[in-house]
Amino acid sequence: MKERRWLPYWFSTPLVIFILLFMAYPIFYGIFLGFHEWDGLGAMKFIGFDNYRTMFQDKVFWKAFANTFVYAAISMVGNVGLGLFLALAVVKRRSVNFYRVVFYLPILLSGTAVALIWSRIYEPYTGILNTVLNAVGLEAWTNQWLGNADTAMGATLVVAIWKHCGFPMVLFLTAIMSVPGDVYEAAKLDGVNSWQETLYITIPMIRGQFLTIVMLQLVNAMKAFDTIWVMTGGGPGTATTVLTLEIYLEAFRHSEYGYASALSTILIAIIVLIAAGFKKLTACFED
Amino acid sequence: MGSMIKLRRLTLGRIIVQILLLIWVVVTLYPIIWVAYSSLKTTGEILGTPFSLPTDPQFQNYVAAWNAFGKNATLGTFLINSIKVSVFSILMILALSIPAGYALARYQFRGKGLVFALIAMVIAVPAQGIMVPMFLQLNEVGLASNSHVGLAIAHTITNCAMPTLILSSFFRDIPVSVEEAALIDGCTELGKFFRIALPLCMPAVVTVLILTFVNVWNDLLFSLVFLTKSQYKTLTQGLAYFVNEGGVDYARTFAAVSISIIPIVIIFLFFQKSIISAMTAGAEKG
Repeated sequence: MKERRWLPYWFSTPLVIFILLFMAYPIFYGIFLGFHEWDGLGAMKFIGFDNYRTMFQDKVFWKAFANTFVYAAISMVGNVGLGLFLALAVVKRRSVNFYRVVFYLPILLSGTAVALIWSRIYEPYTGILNTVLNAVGLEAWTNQWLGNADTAMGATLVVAIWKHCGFPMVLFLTAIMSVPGDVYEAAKLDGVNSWQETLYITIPMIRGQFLTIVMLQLVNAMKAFDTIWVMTGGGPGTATTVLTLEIYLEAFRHSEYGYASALSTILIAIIVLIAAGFKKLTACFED
Repeated sequence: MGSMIKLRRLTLGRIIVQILLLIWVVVTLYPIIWVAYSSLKTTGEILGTPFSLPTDPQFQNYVAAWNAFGKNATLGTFLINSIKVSVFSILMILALSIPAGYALARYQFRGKGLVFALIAMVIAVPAQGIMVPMFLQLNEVGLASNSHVGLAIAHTITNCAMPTLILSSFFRDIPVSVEEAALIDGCTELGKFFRIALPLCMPAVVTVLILTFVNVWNDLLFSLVFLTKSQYKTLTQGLAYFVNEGGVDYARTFAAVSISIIPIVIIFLFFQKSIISAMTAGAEKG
């Protein structure tokens, strides 16, 4: 029986040590570094809250901060909205699996490959988007897309939605399919049409999962890096610079490890707060 | 009767939904198909007639893409590096999450709450937030710059939480009676795990494998952080090169993109059921 007592400790210790070493320690090390100035080579210099002071007075930081929220909010609304629409549109079809496979495919492709494909679509002179616009007589609508500060954010958001909407769709499909059939039977007897059925039965029945999906999309979009980095590198100017990009640039291009760590701490705080807020909200909903 | 039902169903709303659905199918698939067939055209053809099918397939585009990186690396080098990093990461994740998942599923022990709290922390804290301090930490022991082991550690910490929860809930679903029968047969606790539980958990291991592989294989950020020399870079980094430096040569770029996406598309078509359920298992455990 001794073995029975010790086995769970032996079995969970490697994971515990790994998490303490590579998650808990870096979090605190990051907070510590945030109070220092360090180029990674010379001596570390304690500077108190100076990194945060610099950050809050820096236009680039506030631009990245705003961009992160704009990017996350719009891609969340787009992905959840489109995902829900697609799920509702295909859930009762015999070909539901065909649609599931088609809309899920872009999720498995790397952000890098997707970004390469879309930068060729957006290319101002030879890209297929402007070619099509010219062909149908909408020359006035042609644009630099990724090269224009006014359209770059929108253009990257289209890619975010194109790539990710299949994920909420699949989650919504699972949720909708698990709504018990007799609920609908009763509604049918009351002469409810399919729009009312969707609005008053399906959506309220899946509201728990709905919140989880909203949170997942929001948090994942706040971590976005790959497609933005490849398509625009944060530009033009800072038009598409988000916090993850700013962290990468400060640390690995400018060797400002202290400042980058302060930025990292802010990113962690934002995301943990959002996740915690949603957990509270979900708990309220389920009571 | 049959035709009346048909008529009733063909309302304006349904027609609009059908059209929108069709448009989105085209918008989703066409860019992928377009890149695949354009990879066999010359750059001149791609620029001049962007929608036309290839008339004279240019297979040398693939050779050009493969050898676009100077003398230190080819796309093959990047492929091997990506495979190496994925295998390291998957092995580490399995080694950590199988035993931990089993302990959480089968035993009551002091500190169990702490283990769950740590897992919750891994889920909540974004990897992008610890990337800088973790890199510096690994740098001190020589596992940062151009280290595949360091990169695999970063992937392991990012991806270790969901697998543990998936395995734990899988172990919980194995009837206790199956294992108790083994105990009566003289198996020790450890033997029970190795001879009964481990062989039974293979479906969950496959789920974890798929989930981890997709995340690690597609990552660009961590690769950029850790790997700077071309002979160590991963496939996504190799691809990103075409945007920065090789961008003018469309034919070569499209061939490189095709090399990276066609295998994924084929694998997906064969294993779509298990891939989709593995990926959603990762989301639903959160």
